[in-house]
Amino acid sequence: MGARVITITSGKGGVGKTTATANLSAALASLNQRVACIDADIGLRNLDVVMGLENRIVYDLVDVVEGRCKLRQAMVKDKRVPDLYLLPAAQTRDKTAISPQDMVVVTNQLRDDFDLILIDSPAGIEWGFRNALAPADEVVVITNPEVSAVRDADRIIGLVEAEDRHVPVSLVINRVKPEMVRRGDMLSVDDVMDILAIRLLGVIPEDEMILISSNRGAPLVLDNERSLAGEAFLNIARRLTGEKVPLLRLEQKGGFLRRLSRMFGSSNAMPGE
Amino acid sequence: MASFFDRFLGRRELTSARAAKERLKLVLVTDRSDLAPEKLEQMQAEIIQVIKRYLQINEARVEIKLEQRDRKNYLVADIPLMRDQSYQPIEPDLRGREVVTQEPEEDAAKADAPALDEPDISADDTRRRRIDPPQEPDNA
Repeated sequence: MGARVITITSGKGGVGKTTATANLSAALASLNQRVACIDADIGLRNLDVVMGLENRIVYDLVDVVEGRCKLRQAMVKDKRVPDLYLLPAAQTRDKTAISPQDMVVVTNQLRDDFDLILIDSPAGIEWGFRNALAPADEVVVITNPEVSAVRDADRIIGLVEAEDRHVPVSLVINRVKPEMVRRGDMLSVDDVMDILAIRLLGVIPEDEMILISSNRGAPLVLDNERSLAGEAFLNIARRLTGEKVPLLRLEQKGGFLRRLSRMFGSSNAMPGE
Repeated sequence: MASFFDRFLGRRELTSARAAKERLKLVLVTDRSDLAPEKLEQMQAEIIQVIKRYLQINEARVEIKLEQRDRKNYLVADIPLMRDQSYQPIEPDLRGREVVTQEPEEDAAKADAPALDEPDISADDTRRRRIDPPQEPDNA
């Protein structure tokens, strides 16, 4: 059967699916996994720019499906890591150019040559999402600690669970601001888990470095200077390979919980403000 | 979560995160069940009608709601019984349909109490519909 196919989705747009796909793909490749990532957002291609591979695209997913090129010709190699390839979405077509069955066929062709195939799903719950879901062996739902994103995540989880295939679903909570959680102005990881009640794969803190890295088209995890978010992505990648890495609750002790307690210490002059 | 100092001082304010969590829990119950709140109310009224045929209940304190535990949904009913059950409930006949033994006037008035919709329908009509919805009323 070969590669595992992991679909990254969220329902709501703008929660960090593409960033997560780019960083997890790069992180997995840096862990010596053979990784292919597929941008399933036909018409709104983005994974290429976030990964910094936009200038090397010749063919795309729709070209492959419609037989204008061989699958291998469309795969863009990321030269920064040993075995990372991108299959870009078409930018000038719309989502109906691809069917769920096409996605199954394409991923099956890739399974023998890779360990992991990550699919960046478009937002929404319709055609594009159905395409991205069709070949999935696992689904990773990305959410933010805010009402709209959590509600949409719940909807997506419900849709995946309604599949006959029983695809396992796990959750990544992105853009957590520990300081706001401490003040009681942001849903905590526990709050979100309490509501969604599925397996927690990881927690990513809000980090300016995310924007900076996408500005440069250089995934955080490949940066020599490790950022907190980059660290969190790397941990999630390790968990995806089956390694037991403690969840960020514990990591917070070394990382931002320490920062947090520092903030706590400095803010106790004005309690409750 | 309220800050340490709030809890230390016994303050338990409704933080925006708690508000978010409560609101989400409520909205997700409806999202997941695909049952609009007014439909739930209607169902509650119908369930009460059925139970009243067999038991005396404290209707005012009945609580029927959808609840979520892990990712499963439950319909949870809290139906307090009256202490005095000596009251003779309406006996169902062999086909499971009730034989009305009460004063029709009084019964109709009671059935009208939870006031659903259709305000222009006569009390008698409403009662028949609620108790015996799909079948033709053969004893009418």
